[in-house]
Amino acid sequence: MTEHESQQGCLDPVAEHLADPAQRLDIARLGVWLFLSTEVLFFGVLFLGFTLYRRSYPDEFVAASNHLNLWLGGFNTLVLLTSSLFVALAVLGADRGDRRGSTRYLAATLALGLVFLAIKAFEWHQEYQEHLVPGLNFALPGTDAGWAAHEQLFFCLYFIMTGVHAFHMIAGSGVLAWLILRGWRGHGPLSQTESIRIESTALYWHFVDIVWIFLLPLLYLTGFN
Amino acid sequence: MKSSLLLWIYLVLVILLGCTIGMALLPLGVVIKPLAGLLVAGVKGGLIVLFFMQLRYHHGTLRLFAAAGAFCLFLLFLLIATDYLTRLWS
Repeated sequence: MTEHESQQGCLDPVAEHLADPAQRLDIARLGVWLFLSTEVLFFGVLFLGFTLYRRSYPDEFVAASNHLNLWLGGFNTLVLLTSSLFVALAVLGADRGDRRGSTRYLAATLALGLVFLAIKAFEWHQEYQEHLVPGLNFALPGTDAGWAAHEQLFFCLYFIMTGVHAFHMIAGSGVLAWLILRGWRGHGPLSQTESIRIESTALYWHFVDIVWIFLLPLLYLTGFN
Repeated sequence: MKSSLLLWIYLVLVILLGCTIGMALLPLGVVIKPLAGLLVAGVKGGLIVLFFMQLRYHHGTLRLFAAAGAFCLFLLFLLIATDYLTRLWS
C-alpha cells in the first residue's frame, strides 16, 4: 500500500471473496505483475535468439546494424521515457482520486505513445526505401549471397522485435484512450476500480518502455562504428 | 511517493540515455559497446521498476512475482549458454 491509498476518493463495493478494498488492490497488482513475468519470457526468447545469431555472425550483424538510424532510435527512447514519467504522475493523481489531473497525464502519455509510433513508422518507411525489408524488397547490391542472407537475418529479427514492441504500444494506446474517455465522462473523484485500471495500465506501459530501453543498445548499438 | 522524486528519477534516466548515445559515438569496439549499452539499459530498467512501477514500496509476494520472470529468463539464458559457449564451432 502506498501512502496515498488511504486517501482514496470513494470506494466501490467489494466482492464477497475479498476481505477489504486493500486486498482487491493487492490482487490486481499481483495479476498484472504475473502477466508481466510471462511477457518478460515472451520478449526474452527474441532477445536470446538475437544474441545467439549475433554471436554466430558478428560481422554481418554489425554491418546490418549500421543501416539503422541511431538518432531516431535515441529520440524515440526519450519520447518513451517521458511518457513513462507522465503515466507515473497519472498514477500519483489516481491515488489521490484526482480525476482531472490523472486524465490529463494519461492524455499526455497517449500523445507521446502516438509520437513514438509515428517516428517508428517513419523509420520503417526509410528502411523500406533502402530495400532492407526481408520478404518484401531485401537487396544488398555488392555483397555475396551468404553475407546478404545473414544481414537479412538481422533485419528479420529487427522487424519482428520492433514490430511486436509496436503492437504492444498500439494495444497500450488503445487502453489509454479508453481510460481517458471514461475519465472525461465520469464525475467526482476516481473510484477504486478506476484507480486500479489506471495503475494496471501504467505498469504495462512502463514494461513496454523497459523493453524498448533494452532494444536500443541491442539493435542500434551493435553497429555504429 | 512524491512527484518531485519522479522528476528526479526522470532526470537521471535522461542523463543515462545521454550516456548510451554518447557511448555509441565512442570507439569502444563491437563487443564492449553493446555490452556497456545493455549495462546502462539494466540500470535504467531497474530505476523504472523500483520507482515508476513502485516496486520499492511493495514487499513479499509482489516482489516474488516480479522476480519470477527475471529468474526464468536467467535460467533460459544460462541453459542455452551452457550449450553454445561449450560447443566448438568450426
